[in-house]
Amino acid sequence: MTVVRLREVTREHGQVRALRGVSLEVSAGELVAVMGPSGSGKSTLLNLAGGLDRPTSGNVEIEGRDLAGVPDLAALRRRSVGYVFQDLNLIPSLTAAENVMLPRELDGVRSRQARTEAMTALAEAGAEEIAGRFPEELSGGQRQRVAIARALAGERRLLLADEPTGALDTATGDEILRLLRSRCDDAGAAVLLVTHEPRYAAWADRVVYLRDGLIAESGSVRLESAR
Amino acid sequence: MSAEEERAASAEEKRVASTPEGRAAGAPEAGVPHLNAFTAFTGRWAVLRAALRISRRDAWRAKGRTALIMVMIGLPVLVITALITGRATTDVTPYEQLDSTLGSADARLITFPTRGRVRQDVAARSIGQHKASRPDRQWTPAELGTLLDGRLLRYQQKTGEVRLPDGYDWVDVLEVDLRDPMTRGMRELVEGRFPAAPGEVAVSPALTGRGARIGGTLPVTRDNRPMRVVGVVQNPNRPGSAELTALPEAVLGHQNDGDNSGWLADTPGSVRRADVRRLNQAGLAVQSRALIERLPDDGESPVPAMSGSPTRGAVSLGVAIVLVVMETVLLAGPAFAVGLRRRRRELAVLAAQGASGRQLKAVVLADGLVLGGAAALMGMVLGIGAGALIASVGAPLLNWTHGPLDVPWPEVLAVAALGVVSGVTAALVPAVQASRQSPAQVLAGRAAVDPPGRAARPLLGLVLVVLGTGGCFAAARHDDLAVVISAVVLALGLIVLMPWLVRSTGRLAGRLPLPLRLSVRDAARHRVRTSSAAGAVMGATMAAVVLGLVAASAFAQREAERTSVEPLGTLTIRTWASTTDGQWSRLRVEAERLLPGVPLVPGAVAVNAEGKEVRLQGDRHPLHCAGPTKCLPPRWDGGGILPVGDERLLTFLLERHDPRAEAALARGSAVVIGSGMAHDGVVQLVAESWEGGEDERLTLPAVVAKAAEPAQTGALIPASALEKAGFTVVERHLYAAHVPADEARLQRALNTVASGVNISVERRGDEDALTVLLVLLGAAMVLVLGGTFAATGLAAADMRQDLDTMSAVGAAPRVRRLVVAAQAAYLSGLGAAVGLAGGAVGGAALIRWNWETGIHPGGHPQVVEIPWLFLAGLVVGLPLLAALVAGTFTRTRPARARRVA
Amino acid sequence: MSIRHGILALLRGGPRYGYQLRVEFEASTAATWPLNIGQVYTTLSRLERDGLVTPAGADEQGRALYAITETGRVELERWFATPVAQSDRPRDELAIKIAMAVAGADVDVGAVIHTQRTATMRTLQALTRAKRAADGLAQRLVLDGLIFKAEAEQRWLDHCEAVSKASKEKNT
Repeated sequence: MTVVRLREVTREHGQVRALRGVSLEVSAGELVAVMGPSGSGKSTLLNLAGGLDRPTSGNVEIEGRDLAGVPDLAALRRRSVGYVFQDLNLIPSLTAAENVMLPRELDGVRSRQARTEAMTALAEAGAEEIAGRFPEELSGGQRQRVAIARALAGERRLLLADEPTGALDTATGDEILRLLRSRCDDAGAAVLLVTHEPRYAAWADRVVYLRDGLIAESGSVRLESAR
Repeated sequence: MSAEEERAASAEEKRVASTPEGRAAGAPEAGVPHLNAFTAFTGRWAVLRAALRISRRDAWRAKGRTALIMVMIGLPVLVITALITGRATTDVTPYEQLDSTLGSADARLITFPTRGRVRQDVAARSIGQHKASRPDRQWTPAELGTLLDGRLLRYQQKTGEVRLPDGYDWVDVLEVDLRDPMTRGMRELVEGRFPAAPGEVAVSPALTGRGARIGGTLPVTRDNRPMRVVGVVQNPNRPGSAELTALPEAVLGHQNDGDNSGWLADTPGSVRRADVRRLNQAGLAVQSRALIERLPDDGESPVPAMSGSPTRGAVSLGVAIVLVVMETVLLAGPAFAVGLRRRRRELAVLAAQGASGRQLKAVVLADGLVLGGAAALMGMVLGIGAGALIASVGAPLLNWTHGPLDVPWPEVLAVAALGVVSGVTAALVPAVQASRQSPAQVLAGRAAVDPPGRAARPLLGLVLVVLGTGGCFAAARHDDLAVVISAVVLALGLIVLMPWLVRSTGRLAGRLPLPLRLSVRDAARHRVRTSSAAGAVMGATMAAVVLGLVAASAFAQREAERTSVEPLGTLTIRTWASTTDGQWSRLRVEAERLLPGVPLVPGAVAVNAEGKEVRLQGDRHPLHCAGPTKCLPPRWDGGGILPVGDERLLTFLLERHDPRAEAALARGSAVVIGSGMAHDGVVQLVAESWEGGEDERLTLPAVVAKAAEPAQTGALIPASALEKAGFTVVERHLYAAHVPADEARLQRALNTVASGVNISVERRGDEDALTVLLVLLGAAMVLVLGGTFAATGLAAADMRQDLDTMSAVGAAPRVRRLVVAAQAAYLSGLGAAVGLAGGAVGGAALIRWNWETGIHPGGHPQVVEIPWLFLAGLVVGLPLLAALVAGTFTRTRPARARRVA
Repeated sequence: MSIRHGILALLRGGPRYGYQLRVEFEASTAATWPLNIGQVYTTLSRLERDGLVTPAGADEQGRALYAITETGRVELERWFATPVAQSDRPRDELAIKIAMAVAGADVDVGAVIHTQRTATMRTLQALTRAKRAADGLAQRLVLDGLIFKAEAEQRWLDHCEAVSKASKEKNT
């Protein structure tokens, strides 16, 4: 089942063409890594896939809905998409649990229920014992765990991760990838991971190389795993 | 939708064990169309709660910024709350006064000299009586007993003279037997005991401060009747008043005058409306405890309504509210704007998690709500405390009335609500910005500082400025309130124009030396912060310029209109012709003793043939003139009371020897000083008796002498001429070129020798101008510096990285200071310059209005006084001061380089 | 193996004689792979035997020239298109291949690098999968060692791509 599908997507920032006709699908339970040199359009691709930005042409579908027809992208993000960034993911003034509750609360879910859901998500991310702590009291790895828990709290199944291991050492980075992998395998999440580190990309089912706003031809399907 | 259902189903499978109830309740949100009203409400509440939680914690994290904003919002709330609480506490209602007027009595009867029917309101605050030609016989308790059942207690109240160590003074006198239980609550016994014998008095604390002591004697009335002071008692509603209490008729004679004397009554039942009517019919006024207790709070608003109609009052109040909120918003605005910049990334993360633009706006507005709410609450609590404190400290010191703590809750809560509104309004612009920012751009670090271009449209501002300016001058002929409203419109226009002005002036920065260029560029880049702070400075400056111009011109006008026959700085000691010669000579000796080394020049008063003292004035309607304006100078108001004296007084008045005038005076001619009072060599005078009766006119030959100063006008009348006209002349005035340090004290001291002594000093009409301008400058300084430092401090925090880089490449610490100082100078200078322009317009319009509505329409001197020094201090001095202080308190040590994530 | 292809790659730029081939080969590989002239001639004769090169007369100084045949060109294409296997290769073959691709004007360096990268990534994926399945710490660390090595190669490839792209852009 395809969770997110990009068709011939282009995105221009003024004169700069960040993406030039990219097509990509991510299915439930699939971890897809996007690699490429800086400036190749990786972050733009991620922003488009999550509805944080709209394409100049082409279309993006999330769970079968074309984003061009969705007036309230924010609501879509609350319900269907989770983002994890390299750092500064968490609101410093909220505890880990409150951070995880946030998108659910923004969606109008009552606090008590949002908290229950948050605790579940934290438990699944192996971070339940740090639920009451503030971000500045957490290690980098713990922060990313909380961010991943938040991205998948409630019923969201599309996780878009932009260099989530960028600020971490390799062992902790492996831990985070192991967590992402398990979210795909156990919870059926679809993960689109942007990274420039091959060792993390290697956790993916599929690795896509972006060059100059294009998916390098021949690259996209060849790495289909033996799974 | 099938995909969604499938996803939901698969999620259900996976999560059903962990949160079954969560899934069930979460279902409606997944299917958007099913949202019912309840979930919509709880939904919105959940969002607000999340937003408030973030704001609350952020406020706690950024303590400095929070404190700053809270002071800006809380201070006005505090001050206004303190004022209205203090005023309400000071404002004593009849109900609150019950104990101090009635003690524990049920009613208080007020007697009159006659027994005509009395009309009164319930609290007997206003009393009227049908006139009767002759005083009636006095009331007796037995007679009253036939009208009202119960026990009666005599009381009397009036003022009387008492001799204190520094002279005679008038004090309140209350005569009632305070030992009687019926008086419980009227006066508190502070020390000693209540008077128990006719020769005993108790004094109020204000009199002990003036030298009365328990155990001492106090001479009362002009007869210096000695009374023994046995206690100190205090009026609970008037703790600062100077008052004597004694037994009835111990100090005062028998009082039957209808002011405040009569009987207290302790009746078996309460005194009802019918009883009051019956007593009124019999010629008595009544204060009934029962009726006053039931009196509805007449809701006298503690907010001082401006004069005129209720509409005008409401409009004035509205203008005041707009001004206070506007200034608060402008002061707090930059702090919110900078808070937003710090949190921009955080807000972008929120947006990535699915916060909509409206929700982002809610988060920033929640900042305003939390800070405004907390500030308003603290301001309210502290304000009530301060109001109570001011009222209780002020009552004994300044002789205010004083009641129980009285918090006018509707008004206080309205003021607090205004504080909250200010907070939310100040957060409005940042909130809109937050909702408009593109999260993708912010996350990529590409977001511009303030989106360029948007503020480049000065149209709205220009329209408002033109409207305001036009309104000012159009309204100047008709209505001062309209002028004020136009000035507010003008101010709003200038504020709207401010971002454009910031941008335009920022372009000029290219030629400046580096530190200045850097800070002006930075200020221009952060348009919202800069224009908000500059707007606050503008508002304060404009208000100060308007008030300064109007005040200076009003004072100048008063000075221009001042006329006096005595030169400036003349002390005049006057007493009546009825003062005996013996008293007069004692008075002269005493004056010489009290004013050692000061030459005293005598003057005289005239007494007419009937033995009545007269005052001499120039004739307003000279016989030879057709109309008053034809042969009198336009500003001539009769020249005041003309002095009578010899050549010594002439020399004193002219401040020089004038042999020609002296010779004329000796011949019996009047000496006209400076004005056109004389016509064809004569001056026409009117002698008016103080006690009424026919005016007498007389014509004297006159010579004109040059005045010693421009304001001097009048004439000196020789005694010989008056005597020739049938008046008696006695020396009863003294003139001296001396300004005493304490006039009241001098008057009391001289009153000890003879009663009815009156002293006056000729002063400039604009004597208080300097004080008023200094107070204005001080108030403007607080606002200007406050606004500037808030913005500059935030700018310095914002620029820290730039400044650290500059330090790293070898800039001296001085450069850091210069950058910050230049930022302060730029934004306060810009605000002050614009404020000066706006203030000049508003001030000119109000001065114009003053001309139109002067006391002498048409013939009024049109004076414009421009207080240059004040304006320079405001427009040049304050920005320089702001720059200096900002530069001095800049941290010069660079922060250690941090890893920038 | 790689000297053959190296010589073929050089010959694609035009006929060359033996000594010239040696100098150019050493220059292309930054003298990390010294050749003696005997090796060059042995290789050339084998290539001629396989029909990949052919004698092309002599220059004016009488030195025997060799040229690449059509078969030789096909073989060269095939070589560039085939990634070097992680397991059974002398590491330097990859270096030679990239160096030759960069030196050869009409080779799409990016495609060569990408092909190689895809292969390395597949290795990485296999190693990662093995690591996820591995029980023992020692085994995991050995796998980690291989992962780091493969990753280093990947990074070097990324670097090659970035640098060659930058220099190409500079030249055009």
